[in-house]
Amino acid sequence: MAEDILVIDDDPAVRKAFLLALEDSKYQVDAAESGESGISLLTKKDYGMIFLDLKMPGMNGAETLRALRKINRNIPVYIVTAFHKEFLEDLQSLRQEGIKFELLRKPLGGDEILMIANSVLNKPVAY
Amino acid sequence: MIEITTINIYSVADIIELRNKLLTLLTELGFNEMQSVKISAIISDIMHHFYIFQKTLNTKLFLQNEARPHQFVMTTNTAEIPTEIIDHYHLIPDKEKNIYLHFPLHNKEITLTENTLQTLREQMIIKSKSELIREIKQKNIALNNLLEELKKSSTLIQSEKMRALGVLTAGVAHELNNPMMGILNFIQYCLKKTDNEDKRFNALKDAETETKRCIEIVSNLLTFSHLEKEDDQDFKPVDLVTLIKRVIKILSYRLRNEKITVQENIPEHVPQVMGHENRLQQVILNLITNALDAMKETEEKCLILNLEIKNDRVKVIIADTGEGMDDKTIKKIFEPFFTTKPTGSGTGLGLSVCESIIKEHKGHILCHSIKNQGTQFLLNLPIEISSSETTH
Repeated sequence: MAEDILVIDDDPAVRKAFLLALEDSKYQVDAAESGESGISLLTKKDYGMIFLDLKMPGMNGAETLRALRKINRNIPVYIVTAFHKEFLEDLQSLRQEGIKFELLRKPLGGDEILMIANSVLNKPVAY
Repeated sequence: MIEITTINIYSVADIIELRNKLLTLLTELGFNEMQSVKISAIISDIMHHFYIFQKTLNTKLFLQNEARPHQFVMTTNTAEIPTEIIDHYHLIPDKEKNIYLHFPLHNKEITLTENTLQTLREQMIIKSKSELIREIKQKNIALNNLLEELKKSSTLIQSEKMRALGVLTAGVAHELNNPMMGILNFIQYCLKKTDNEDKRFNALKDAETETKRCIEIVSNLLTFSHLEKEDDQDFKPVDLVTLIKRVIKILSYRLRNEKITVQENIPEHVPQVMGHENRLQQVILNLITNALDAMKETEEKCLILNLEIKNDRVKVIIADTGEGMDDKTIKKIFEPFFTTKPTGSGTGLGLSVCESIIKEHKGHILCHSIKNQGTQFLLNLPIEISSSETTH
């Protein structure tokens, strides 16, 4: 079972936050600054979970997720976002298409990040 | 016969003073300078008419000089006007017409030549009492219309302002979320790497607490700015009684700890209202927390919760025996960023968020307060009949 974590966020502060929060954990973290480079990382390597930003230049989170799901149908994806009204419709149509994802509210603290990672990666994912 | 005691006469100085007071009052009420001047001009005009009117109540006729509206003339049986009135108001007798001329803007005696008098007489318009009453009524209507218009425009300005503020805060708050997440995690990382005994540990702990405070403020701002744009398509039936009980449970530790008694008056069958459960809970939690905060320093600590059903509406009353507020404070409580709490204890958004939520539910929120006696908040929410029938 893959235990690496992929973080996709255009903001370096957020990417660094994930890296620091998970530094001493057993998880290896890769960070991508765009949906496009996130997708290319996923084609090369197996990840245990993905933290995905919604509002990004280029491919936004919803578009990225759609593309990610074509590569891997079951990888747990946690969309990390402040409440973005403008993406509500996108998220709803993703759900209607049967594309799975969880929502997390930004900003996340270190303990929360570790807790979520532990809860996802320490037990078999049942889908 | 003129009865001096019944005449309420304003001198020019009085009128000016009243006008200035009025201007200050109107500015305090939130009208801008131009609006204030417009209103006070109409009111002065009415006062002037009353002034003339009251003076002529007991006279047969009244004459107004149209060319110079501030000069007016009263007619009466000259013998009936006491000399002190004639002296005080500088009434100038015009023997020929058996009238007195009065120049309210001049306190000096004026010598009139026969020519001037003649012109004056030609310009004079004779008005009866009923005409005067009609004029005053017209002025009153004009004033009411203007006030209506001003009210509308100030509501419009207010909602425009709120919308602009909403857009601005939403933008700022969104932009702040990413750096906030960075800062929080950088601090927590340093905390993890710092020994508990290290002096820097506590400073970092403080930094963490303060960052979390910022995050909470930003989150409040987002709630506040998103409310107005929300639609009511996902309204669901909400049981207010369960909701209130839940809030009381959340606050039970505080209630016990601060020795606050709760007086509930909740009828058996309360119909459900249509709404956002979380948002309504936020309102109740906010109002009760405010009530508890208000009772921190007072001896009597009683939280009163009343629920009433009246005309298809549920009325929720949340009252406290706390420190209360003066009128000046009450006027401002629903303004965003207004707070009476010490710095760091409140963002000043709580009540404006409550107001937005209640408005979104087509309800009303009212506040009554007496300084040093307590405050009462009244929520009035419409019942959705169809849903209440199915649930009760």
